[in-house]
Amino acid sequence: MCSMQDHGLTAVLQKCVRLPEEEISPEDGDSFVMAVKLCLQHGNSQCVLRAVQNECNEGLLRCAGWNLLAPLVEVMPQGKATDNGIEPILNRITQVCSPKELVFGFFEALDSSKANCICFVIVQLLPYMMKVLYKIDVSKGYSVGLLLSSVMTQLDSVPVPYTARQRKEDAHGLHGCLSTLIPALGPLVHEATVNARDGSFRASVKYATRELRQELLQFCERYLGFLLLTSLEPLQEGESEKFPLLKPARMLVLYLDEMGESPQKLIQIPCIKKEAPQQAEESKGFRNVYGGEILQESGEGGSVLGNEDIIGSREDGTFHFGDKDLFSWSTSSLACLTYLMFVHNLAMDKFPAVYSHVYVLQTNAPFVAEMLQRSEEGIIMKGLSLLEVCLCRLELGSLTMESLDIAHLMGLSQDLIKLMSSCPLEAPRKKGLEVFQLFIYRLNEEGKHRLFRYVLHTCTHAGVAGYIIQNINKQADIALRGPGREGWFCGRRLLLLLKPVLWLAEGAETDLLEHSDRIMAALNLLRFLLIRDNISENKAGIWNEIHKIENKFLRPIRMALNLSRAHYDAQLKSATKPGGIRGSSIGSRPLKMPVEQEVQVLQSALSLFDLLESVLARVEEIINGDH
Amino acid sequence: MRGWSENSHAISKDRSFPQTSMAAKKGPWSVQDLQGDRVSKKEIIQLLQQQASHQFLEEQKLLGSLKNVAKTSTKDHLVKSYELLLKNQKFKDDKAENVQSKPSKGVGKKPAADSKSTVATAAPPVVEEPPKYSKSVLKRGDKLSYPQRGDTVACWYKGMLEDGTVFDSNLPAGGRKGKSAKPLTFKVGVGKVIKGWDEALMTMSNGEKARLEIESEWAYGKKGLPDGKIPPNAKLIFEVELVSIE
Repeated sequence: MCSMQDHGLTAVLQKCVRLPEEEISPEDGDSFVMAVKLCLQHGNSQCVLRAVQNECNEGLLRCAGWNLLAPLVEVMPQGKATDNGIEPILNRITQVCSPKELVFGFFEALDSSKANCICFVIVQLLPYMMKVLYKIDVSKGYSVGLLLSSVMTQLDSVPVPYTARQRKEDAHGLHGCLSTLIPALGPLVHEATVNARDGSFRASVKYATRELRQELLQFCERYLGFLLLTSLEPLQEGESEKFPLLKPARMLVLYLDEMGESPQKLIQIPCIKKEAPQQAEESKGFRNVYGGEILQESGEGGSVLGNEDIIGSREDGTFHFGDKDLFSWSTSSLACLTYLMFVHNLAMDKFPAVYSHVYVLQTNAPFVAEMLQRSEEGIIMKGLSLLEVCLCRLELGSLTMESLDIAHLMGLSQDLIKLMSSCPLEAPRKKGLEVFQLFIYRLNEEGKHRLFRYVLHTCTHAGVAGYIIQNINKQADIALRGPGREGWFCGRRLLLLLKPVLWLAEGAETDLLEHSDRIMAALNLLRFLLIRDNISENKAGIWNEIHKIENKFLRPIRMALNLSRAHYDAQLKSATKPGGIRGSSIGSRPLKMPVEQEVQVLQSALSLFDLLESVLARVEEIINGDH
Repeated sequence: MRGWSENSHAISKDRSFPQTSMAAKKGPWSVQDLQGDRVSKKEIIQLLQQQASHQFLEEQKLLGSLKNVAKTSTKDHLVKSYELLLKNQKFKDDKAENVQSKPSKGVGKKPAADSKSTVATAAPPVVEEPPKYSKSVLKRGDKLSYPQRGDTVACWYKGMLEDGTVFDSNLPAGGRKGKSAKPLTFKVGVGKVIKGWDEALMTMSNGEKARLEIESEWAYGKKGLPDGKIPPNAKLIFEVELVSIE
């Protein structure tokens, strides 16, 4: 029995009973929608259900039914679906009303939904949307595109869960929604594929199929962009089952293949930024300064692997296939695709097992660069994982300068260095360092030598420089164990590398604290070389340069140490003295902190000087002893 | 047609040099022959590619498929190269280069019928290390056009482990190469594929089908392929059919 509030509905139903659709005025249609809305708001969905199921009201429903979708969505339950009578109403409406009108109804319903419940709405509407889309004969592609793009636009406003906890909770239901979307598209993908393969169809059908395919690809592209943001790693370490979003991702990759966008072809894109204008300028400047020794361009300014001929690149960074059925892919979507393939092993059975490891790295380098340059943690970590997988395929020391495009090689190292030295997020910084070391190990000796020189000349970050110097140490150790003096980390070539290391640009005025990582690593390297390669053997040739090193490096450090120590001692005294004048500074940065902390900072600076001095004293001792 | 000989009476159907190593070799045509229309560009290129050393061909920019060289070289250039070859005697060193699968034809000898799986161990140019693959021809190719470094080749293939496990193939399941199936295309000799393929493909002529046995060093080495697709240090066996060279 309907309540008093439903009189409006009863009135309009009585007015229009048994009337065919054409005879119902727009005003009556509006009154019907308003009355239903009121009923739903008061929880009388049963009353609405009876109204729509009554065949006497079919004309009215045909006329205004599509307008009921938005009010129905407003009262949809959030979270898990409960039986509140909405589903049978939706079912009846999608059976009776015109599919074309319903598409607009769904569009409006999605558009009016709130961000916090949109995922649940989509999941509940999806089966009905697909049923309606499947019924459409004319301009199916347009309708599919309209609804799918509306879905993705709505999802854009939903926060993406990233941490393990957020992903487990999935408060907005985003993962559930993304998982439901892909399987639902199966019949449409099948339609786009079967029609395209069958040659007997008319031109109009072919056009419609192509349109449908384009819309589906558009959706896949946006979907991949979404996956790029979230983490696809297992929720807990050691968890055997992979993250649930991988299943729809696998399905999506298969769809792409089915629709003729073979993943293996998609990712074989030539260097995206062969040499971006800015990068070209930098390399040019660099060559001018250092006489072209460090950056040696391969043959035609690119990789010897050459460019893939199937795909063309555009100025805006999108890619497309040659002729008809053209579809432009954004770099970030392709980056996600290649990540899924190589890191999660999706569709790798479609990837020929004859491509060389170097080629795989070469193919992926532009995508890695794209991901490393983003600011979202999820994307950066994916870029690092992809690079890690590609590097791990290679044997140690197997990467030659000729095999990898020089612009990418240096670009990649620059991206990693930037990440390690200035990324505000800890996880990418740590992983960046691990991957950087993997990268160094994969380069052959010449490659390592060039990379080290390049980094030492270009990088101002003391930590990174210190890290490179430690690596030089490792390589020199290996080289000194060998018989010859002709390696890349021996004799003249090693000295070339040490020139910027055993040198203080600002002499005695160098800020020791700021450059401590670099100076400490350099002193350790010098000490190692002096002990390991004594004056009688002199394989590394360091003893030939010892006077220069003393003048340009050791003496300035000694002076800088004395100056700094005196300065900080005075500051410490002043800070600890009752009533003393405060205003300490570390380098040029004034310290604004409580006195206890200030004292701690100054003391740690002084102990660092002690450490530097002890290594310096040991080096001087070895030099004087052997002299 | 005159044969290549220092003796004018030595006639041969094949345009090849007699295998006398001491005397300087002469060519089958005079400069007058070449300057007229009697000898086509393609005939000159074919002869030069069969007989001249790799280095000479490289210097004269005559490496590549017959069609491409014919397009890019003028007749004058070819005549000059021909004269230069005779003048400087820059012939293929039979001992060093003849092991390339391109067979050189001896005087009066028919090419060896290799349709019955002749096993030939091929040594790549440039690389000094001994080849780490062996090739047996399953179906003879045209023996005229061989891919050169940088050419785009297309091939059907099936890759197996030593125990016969097929780890990859681009052959359609039904065995019929219909419209939807496409051969794998790539630039050969530039490191896009495993080294065994790069080197072996360049010894195959258009249409040839061969069985390649590639040592792991020239395949996926110590690492293999992830997920156990190819285990570490695995020797790989491929059946490859070269279907086009561009």
